[in-house]
Amino acid sequence: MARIMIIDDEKIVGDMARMSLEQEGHEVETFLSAAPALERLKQRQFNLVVTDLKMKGIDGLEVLKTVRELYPQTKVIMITAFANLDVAIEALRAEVHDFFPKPVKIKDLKESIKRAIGEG
Amino acid sequence: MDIIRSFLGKGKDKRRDLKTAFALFRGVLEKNNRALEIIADMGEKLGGGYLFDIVYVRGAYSELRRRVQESIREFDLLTEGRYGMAAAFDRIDKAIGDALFDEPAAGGGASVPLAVPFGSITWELRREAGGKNYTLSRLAKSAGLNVPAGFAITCLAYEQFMSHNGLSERARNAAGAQELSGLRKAVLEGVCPPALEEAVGAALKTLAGPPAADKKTGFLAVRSSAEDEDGSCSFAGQFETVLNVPATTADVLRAYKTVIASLFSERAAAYGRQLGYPPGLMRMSVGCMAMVDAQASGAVLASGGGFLINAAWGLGPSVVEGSAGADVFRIGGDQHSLAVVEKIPGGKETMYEAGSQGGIRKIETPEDLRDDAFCLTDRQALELAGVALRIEEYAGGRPQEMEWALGRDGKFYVLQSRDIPGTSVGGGAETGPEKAGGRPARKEFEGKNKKIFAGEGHVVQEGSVSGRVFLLKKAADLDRVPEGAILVARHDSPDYILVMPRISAVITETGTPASHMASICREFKLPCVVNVRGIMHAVSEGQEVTLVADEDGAILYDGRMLPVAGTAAGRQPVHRLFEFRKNIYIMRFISPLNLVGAFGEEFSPERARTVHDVLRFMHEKSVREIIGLSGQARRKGAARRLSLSVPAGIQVIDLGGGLKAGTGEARIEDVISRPFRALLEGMTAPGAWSNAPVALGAKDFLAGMVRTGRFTAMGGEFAGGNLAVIDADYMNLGMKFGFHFNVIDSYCSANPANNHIYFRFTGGATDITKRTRRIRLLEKVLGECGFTSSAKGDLLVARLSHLPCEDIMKALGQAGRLIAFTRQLDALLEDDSSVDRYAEDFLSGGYGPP
Repeated sequence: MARIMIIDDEKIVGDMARMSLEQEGHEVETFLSAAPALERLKQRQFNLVVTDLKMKGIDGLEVLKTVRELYPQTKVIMITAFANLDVAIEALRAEVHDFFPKPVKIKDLKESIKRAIGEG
Repeated sequence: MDIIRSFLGKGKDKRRDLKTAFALFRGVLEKNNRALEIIADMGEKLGGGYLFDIVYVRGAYSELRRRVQESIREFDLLTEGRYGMAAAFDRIDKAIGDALFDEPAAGGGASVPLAVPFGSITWELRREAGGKNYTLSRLAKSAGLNVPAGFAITCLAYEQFMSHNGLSERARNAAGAQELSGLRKAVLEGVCPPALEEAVGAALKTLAGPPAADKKTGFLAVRSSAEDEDGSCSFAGQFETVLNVPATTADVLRAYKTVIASLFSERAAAYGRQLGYPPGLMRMSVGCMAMVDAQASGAVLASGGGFLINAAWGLGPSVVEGSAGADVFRIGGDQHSLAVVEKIPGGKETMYEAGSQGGIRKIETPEDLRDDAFCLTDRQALELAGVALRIEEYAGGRPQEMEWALGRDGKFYVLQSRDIPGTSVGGGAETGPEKAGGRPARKEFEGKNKKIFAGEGHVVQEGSVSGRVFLLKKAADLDRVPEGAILVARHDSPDYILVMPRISAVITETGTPASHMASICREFKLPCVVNVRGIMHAVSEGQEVTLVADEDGAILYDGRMLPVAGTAAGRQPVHRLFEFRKNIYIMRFISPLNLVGAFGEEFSPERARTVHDVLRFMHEKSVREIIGLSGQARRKGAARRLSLSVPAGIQVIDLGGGLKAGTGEARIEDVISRPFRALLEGMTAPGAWSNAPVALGAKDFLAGMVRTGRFTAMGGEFAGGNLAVIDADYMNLGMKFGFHFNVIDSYCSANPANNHIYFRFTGGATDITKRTRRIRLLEKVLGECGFTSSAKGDLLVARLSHLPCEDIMKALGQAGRLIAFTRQLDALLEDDSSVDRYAEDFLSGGYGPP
């Protein structure tokens, strides 16, 4: 079971993800913006970070960069409501474990997480 | 065609040409179909299986809105603007817009009163009046049940009270025990705005009326009805009720403050936290109802296809607080004869009675009313079950828990009714991953460990868990309950909500399945057994035990037999999250279908409450418009009756090249339209059309009654009203058999790119479980024939396109057989496995029963 951080500026995304992933036995922390999440990352390592791409202030790409610097082994899953950013998606593929356009099927996310933590 | 032209040409001036009308009709149908698909897709994406955000919701609705508006434009042209559809949709659109863009949703634009009599609570005011008050007003008005007269003090009044006392901001930021307690005090000491005093005074005057023998005139029960209460979260027992309040403005307002202060109780806050409710966000309406001078009272719970009645002497708190040993009646049977299956006397040592100056008091029950002296006669118990049955019918078959009082006049009064959380139409509890602790079969535990008890008590919520016993000897010890404990207590209490996030089960020595605590355990899927005599002495503090509770009863084993149980947060179904419900709030203006009967005053644009209603109305009226126009055409010989070997009652309008020339009845041989002919051949295939009568069960009976107001489930074939519009390559057939609707639209030409079949099926006479099984059967068979489909509840939409003509015709043949075969099949689909058996038999050319 993994320690998972979720960052999305819409509360519903974090709430639903937390509830669904806690059911699987994961430990989940949610954040509504990147700044406090990055602060938390400095204190504690997570196995996986699920982050929204487009957020006010610090965006998902910056989160990705910071995670890479702090914990190269931590996996990142990116989600976004703006799925037509083909180029960005391609660029991200190399860096992120997975990428999902919203709405994200929770089953798919769970499976991706299993693969990320080496259970799938 | 000449006939049609003559019909058009000579029309009195504005008569539209049938072909143009039909093109508009198709346009309306196409846009409606697209809109229904968007609704189905939104239903899926917002159904709990997807992470979504408001950007998605707004985008999807904007697309839906566009389709509906396009459809309305063509509909208006078709019906010459007779129905004012645009205005009806604008009203709904505004409510959705408000919800989507966080505008205040109060009253849907209507002006909101501070107090409103139950009789005047409209659908638009349901949020302002709160769920509980709205339900009661409906039960009195539409279901004709006895509900004490009363009025609601609205949520707007609450807002004004809070703002008048400078508490709004404080309430929004309330967190922590100290602040909550400060807020409660501030509310209790608060001053009511003069307008509220005036409104309550006026409402009391209207309530007074002439004195009635059955009421304890001059006293009221003041109860909470929070905005969301009794919606998908029960908040059972979380808020205060003040009974027997003298009907003066000052007394009622004092009680009012007590009730709204309970919004800030620690247990209500704990309950809200579990569902992600931000503190202080909920608004509260309060119901003030004439006090029933009750000789007995209690609760009724839908249970195992029947009802479970709990009854105690005097006023209500004994049963729902779970403290008095109440009488229990188990009612079973079918729609023809309800029967008392079992009755167990309760001790009834204490009871509540109304004080002559107001307030209530707990007294010792007179000896001769205890134990074997049941509170209800069998006849009364059955009468009460009849009331519960009517409420369940009224709730669309959803199992209910209801609080009642038996007046001195011998009449039953409904004090409150709500859905049993976690159940759906069809009666079953939700199953699946959210069921606590999975469900290892009970035989897996047999013979391994010592049994502490077996078969005792009453299982409130099923589940299997292991944990350490925490013996709750006094209420103050609640704070010490450790993570994962199995709470064992003498009595049940809604206070246990405070620890529910961290415990894995509850077992109590007394208590009833009708208590507030029981409701909350069911709601949070927390395994719970009540009324286990002697349990406090049978286990010891810290002992490891394993509880196995299922439909066969409860067993408690010594020792740990299961891994650590999840706590309530992990058990929470996503649907109950505040944020989730807030975001899908707009769906209540979109997907429910209220306009069901197509006749009578109720079927009007003004009654449309949802986008689905608007679409349904347009569909029905478009079909009728076409039937009306074709009726005129028929009189000129343009529509012809189709004579088939089965009684399908189809009229055909040929737009050109669909039928052989002729007049009078057409036979299948006269049909040239390729798609229509293929479909008819399937429908009339030997053996496909069964005329055998079909037996309906109790739930079907209910389901049929609920949707029609009378029971006419079978023999309701809509002979003569089914209309096909065809040409050489095209068919559109709308059919209504009894209670289900079926639309098949197909184009079948030499160009595969243009070819399609659209198959839509909805409704039925049986209960939703069986109807859903029929949908699964249709989906399975159509899937095997190459269709792609989406199903939601009892609506199925299936499509097949871009195939050569011969493949389309082959699929239509199968669809025709299927339509004939499944006409009454829902009633026979008794269990899930029958779906597969019938489907396989059908696909290999048979027609069951397998």
